[in-house]
This record gives sequence, C-alpha cells and structure tokens, in this order.
Amino acid sequence: MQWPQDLYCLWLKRMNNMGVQVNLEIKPTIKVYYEKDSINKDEFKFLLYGIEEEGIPYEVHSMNIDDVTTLSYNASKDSRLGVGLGINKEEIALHYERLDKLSPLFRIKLQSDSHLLRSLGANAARLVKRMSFKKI
Amino acid sequence: MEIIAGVDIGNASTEVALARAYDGKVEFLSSNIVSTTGIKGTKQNINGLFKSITEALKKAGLTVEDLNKIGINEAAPVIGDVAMETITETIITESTMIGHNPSTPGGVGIGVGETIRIEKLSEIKDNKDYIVVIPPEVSFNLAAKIINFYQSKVNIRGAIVKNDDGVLINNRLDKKIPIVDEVELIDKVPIGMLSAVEVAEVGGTVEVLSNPYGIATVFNLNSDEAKQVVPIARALIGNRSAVVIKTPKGDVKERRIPAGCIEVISFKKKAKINVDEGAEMIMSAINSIDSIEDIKGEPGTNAGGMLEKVRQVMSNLTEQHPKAIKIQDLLAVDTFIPQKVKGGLANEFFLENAVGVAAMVKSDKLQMEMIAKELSTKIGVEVKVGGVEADMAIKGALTTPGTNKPLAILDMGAGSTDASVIDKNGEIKSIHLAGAGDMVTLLIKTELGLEDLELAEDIKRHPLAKVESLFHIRHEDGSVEFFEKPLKPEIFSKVVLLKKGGMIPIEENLSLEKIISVRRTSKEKVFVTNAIRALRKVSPTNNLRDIEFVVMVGGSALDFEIPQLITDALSHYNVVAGRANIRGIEGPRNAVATGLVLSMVEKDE
Repeated sequence: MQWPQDLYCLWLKRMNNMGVQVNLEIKPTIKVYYEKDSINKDEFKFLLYGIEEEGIPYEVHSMNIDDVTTLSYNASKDSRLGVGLGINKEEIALHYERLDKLSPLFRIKLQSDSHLLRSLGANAARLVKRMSFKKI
Repeated sequence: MEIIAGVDIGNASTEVALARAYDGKVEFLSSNIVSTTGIKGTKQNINGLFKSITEALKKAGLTVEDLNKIGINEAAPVIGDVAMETITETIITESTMIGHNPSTPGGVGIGVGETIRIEKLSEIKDNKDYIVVIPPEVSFNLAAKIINFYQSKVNIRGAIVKNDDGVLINNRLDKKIPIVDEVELIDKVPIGMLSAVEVAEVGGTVEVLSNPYGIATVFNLNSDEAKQVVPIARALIGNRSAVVIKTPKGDVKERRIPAGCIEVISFKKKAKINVDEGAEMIMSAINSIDSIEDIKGEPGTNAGGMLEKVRQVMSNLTEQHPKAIKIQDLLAVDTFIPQKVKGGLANEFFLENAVGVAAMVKSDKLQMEMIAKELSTKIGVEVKVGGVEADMAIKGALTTPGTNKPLAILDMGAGSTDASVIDKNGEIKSIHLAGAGDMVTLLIKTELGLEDLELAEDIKRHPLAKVESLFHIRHEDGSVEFFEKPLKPEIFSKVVLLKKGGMIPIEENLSLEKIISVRRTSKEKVFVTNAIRALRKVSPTNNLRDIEFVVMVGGSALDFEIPQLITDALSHYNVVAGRANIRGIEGPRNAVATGLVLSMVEKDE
C-alpha cells in the first residue's frame, strides 16, 4: 500500500519538527542514474544483469543531468551502500561516495560489448561485497 | 696503518667489511652487500666482488688505491639443490563429478535426476526427474523461459550451466532449483545419466555430496559402491556447490605413484627407504646414520631421477664427474601440490601428496685461490684466502654484544644450514646440513600452486595485508592502516605483499590465512627442523640442552619471522637463541667478513 503523497509530506514535516531525522531511502541498493530522454534502458541492461548475478539489489532512475561523472557521483551519494552508476549518451561510470567527485572508479563506453557491461555491473556489486574486481 | 677488507662470498650475497688497522687495533669503517654474481666459487663472482669492495670504499671516502689488503673466505665447500616429487595422483574417469566453486551459483538445495540437454526437453514423454544441461549459446532469459514452460510437464530438479548465469536464471524461475554455473567443459557432461546437483546457502558448504553416505542415499548405492565414492566426497568437502554424476564406468581414483627407494650409504651400514613412506621415515633413516658417505636413488624411478638431477647440477657446477659427486645430507619434507585433475570438467584442482628434498654436496674444488689471484691482478692489491668459513663466522658472531664463549652459531643461508660451536678453550666444531632458504621458497611455490618462483620468494620475505576498502588495509597482525588517497582498484579486496616499492597484489585466488599458514609451516619444516638437527650434531654430548647460547647469522636470520620461530622452538630445550648483531650495528649480516678482518689483524701481530 502506498501513502498518498501529501499525507507523506505532512508526516515528514511533523517528524522534522520533532527533531527526528528521517532517512527517505529505506532499502540499501546500488543506484543507477541515466540521462533522461537520451538513452533507452535497454542499452544498459547487461550492466544490470551484472549486478543481479552478484546478488545485490539496485534501483534505476532517470535524471535531467548529462554529465556522466555527476550522474554517477550523485547516484553514489544517494545510495545507502555508497555505490552508484551513471550513464549518459556515451559513457558509463562507476562511483563510490567517498571518492573525489571528478575521479570515478571505472569509466567505460556505453557502446562496449555486453561482456564488459556485465563486468562493470559485477564490479559495482563487488565494491559492496568487498570482493576483488573483474578486469575492466 | 693499513686499510683492509674482508670479503665473504655466499650462495646469495657477497659481503664486505672495511677497516683501518693500527697498533693491533681495528677500527671498522664501512660495510657493504651485493648479490653474488654467478655460482659461489666460480670466476663470475669477481664482478660482484669488485662492485661490493668499491662501494664499501666509497662509503668510507676512500678509493682502491688506499686499500692495502683483502681477505677472502675459504668458502664452506657446500652446495645445495632442491627437488620435488609427487607421490599421489587423482584421475576422474568418464566425468563423474564437478567439484569447482563458482562464486555465484543459483538457488539452494539438492536436486537429483537424469541429465538432459535443455533443447531436448520437448522430446520427453515420461514423467521422470531431470537435471538440465545448458550450453553457452542459450541465454539465461531463454533458459529460464524454457524451464518455466516445461516445469509443469516434467520434473526439472536442477541445472548445470556453462555461463556465469546461475543467479540470473534462478531469479527468473517460478520454481527454484539448485544451479551450478561456470562449468567450463559443459559438452563433456554425460547425458542420460543419473546425477545430483547441490548448492548450499551463502556461507555454507555442501552437506549431502560431501558425505559418502549422502551420495549413497541419493544414488541408492550398496556398501561396496559406497566405499568407492569416498574420494568423490572428500574432493567436494568445503565447496559451496557440487555435481555428482553416476555413470556405469565413472570413477574418481586416487593412485599412489611408485616413487622408488632412496639408499643411504655409510662405511658401516646401508639403509633403504621407500619414498612413498613419506618424509618422516626418510629423515629417521638419515638421522640413524652417522657419517653419510653418499645417498642414492633407485635408478629408473622418480626418486632416482630426483637425486640424479641434483647430482647432475652439482657436477656441472664443480666440473667434476657426476660419479664423483657424493650427496652427504638430505632434508626430506612432506608437502602438497595442487594439481589439475585429469578428466575434470571445471578445471578442478586436487591437493596431491608430495615429498620435497634438499640435498647437500661437499666438494673440495671451490676455486677460491683462483678467484683471489684474478682479483689481485685486476686491482693490484694483495688478496689472501684465509680462514675456514665457520671459524670466521664465529669470530664475527662474537662481536655481538652480550655473547661469550662457549657459543653456538646457526648460519642460515639460501643453500645450506650450517652450525658451529666454540668451547671455552676456543675449539671449534662445525657441520653443514642440506635445506635452507631455497627449500622454503620451493615449498611455498608448490604448496600454493604458484607458477612463478619470484613470487614465492617475495611471499617468503615480505609480510602480507588485505585491502579491505578503497581507503584502508588490514595488516596480517590485524592492525589497520588508512590512506588519504584512494588505493588503486586493481588491488581492491586483494591480498597484497608489502614490499618497499609498494603493494603488490597476489593474483591467485588465495586467502590471507592460507598464504600465511603455508609460509610459516614451510619455514618451520625447514629451519626449525634443521636448527634442531644441526645443534644436536655439534653439541658435545649430542644433546641440545647442553648448548646454552645460540646466535643466528646469515641471510635467513634477517627474515621477519624465522628467528622468532627458532627462538620459540629452542626455548623448549632451555636454549637462549637470538639474532646476532655483528659489531653491535650490522644485525645478522657481515659475520664472516668481520671475522676475516679480525683474523688478518691478529695474524699480523
């Protein structure tokens, strides 16, 4: 069951007035942010398969941002796991919340072969699981 | 006043001590160490020697013209070599099991059924249980659709997959089944045979297929057949997932390779031991014989080949006929070698038993005189070969603060372990034993299944750490070190060697604990065993307890844990043992070079 949006906002306001910090995101997931209106989700499905095979949950959102580092950095900041993926027309970047914004961990072309996309997805999950990375 | 240099050419390094002598007094100026060039006791040594001397002179602000005299050690005429022989092997016939450990298998539980290719599911009419075999060309989406479609008509109990798709398939199934993936040689999986697939929970290990009675239950085996599946069950212990396939002729066999005999010969008696019986039996035979004349391997067997190889290497080194080479000590060690299983489907490795040996040969032909003559003409300085190496080492070791006669030294090098003891009257007794640093390196290399000898050498010498995040590592002693800048992704979550130049990742899939345990036991098997063996032989009563003080010198005494292992082991015999500190500054290095300088000054008086 979903809360009506205004009721939810009311509740949030009240909690804030009481001095309670509410974590809006409940589920720990890897966040995947992609540039709105310029790419089809299908273009990076292998990236998501890579995360899934490693058994870590993820969420995909579209954003009005075109810079791949910003996309991935924001995703990592919004993720409770601290791990985010950003995708624009050309590239995919994997970011970790504690890294410098301008230097994501890995960066590949969106048009890479499916194997590489899966490896990058797996690496996002492995960053969470603390397992050594697949070769990129 | 004279400037003199003492030079010690060892198996691995060449050391120099430089001193000024006047009125019978010695003032040490500098010391230096370089890698020995060529094999100890050959002309190639001169290059390293020359370099080491000039560097030492430079440190003291001197040149070759200032040098008055050089003393070279009468090198202990001992050369060591190592060899290894496997004594068991495992063969899988007709692909009866898959025992590898994919990182992400799918589903959980055990499924039993007849193997069938996924594309043949449509031809099935009966209502039996099946295990589907999925080749790489079938995508996980398609595979899941097919399984979901047929699940209502036939009972699909499990799956064996080539691609790394186990979780992906499982997530798309209506009814969950255990799935083992990343099976490399999927085409070799026998079709139409009864098989069992088991996947444990995350963090768990297979319970049914690692138990002989579990396999017997699944396949309805009688007691005779249950006996035969013991090697299969054993091989699957500790895996998270496994497949066992029952084929009419299929089998996993452990075979003992006839390794042959080793014969230990002395003037009085001979002892013959079968290498199969393991290192302990070989060592008890060797320790039972006092002055060994030679050690031979049975011709035409692995043992024979192993010792003949050592003999051949020695004969090339010393330019003597192989028949003239006498092996005078041998250290045998039980070990394991991970070997690829013959007939495996997923590149499985089994730990096979093996015996490693280090052999020691005495030769009377090390050409130190020749080296001295050549060096003398090259730099125009008088070069003397002086002093037995063991005597020099003791003389040098006695410069360690807090030592006094009587004293025993343990010289642990790369090729051999030497022990000497000096009594109150200055009488010196010494012995050379086979097995030292090189043997440890070989054991580390084989037990960890490394390709590269350099890596094994690095593992021996350097402590380890685990990279736990992009910003911190945990050292092997448990302490944590943080970094301001992120570490390279290439080393993330890997075990790394902490070398001076930085962190070197170990690419092999080995845990920190495993590497540490192999490293320590290898050092113990060689150095602790040899320390006890050597001290027992030089002790005036053959009893270890009658030696009070032991100092350790030589390259392996520099190791970060060997001295502690030995100190600990010898403390059980009430022996005080510790690392030398030559002249109070050099640590366990430079003992022989220092001893040479001191003896040259004494002689001049």
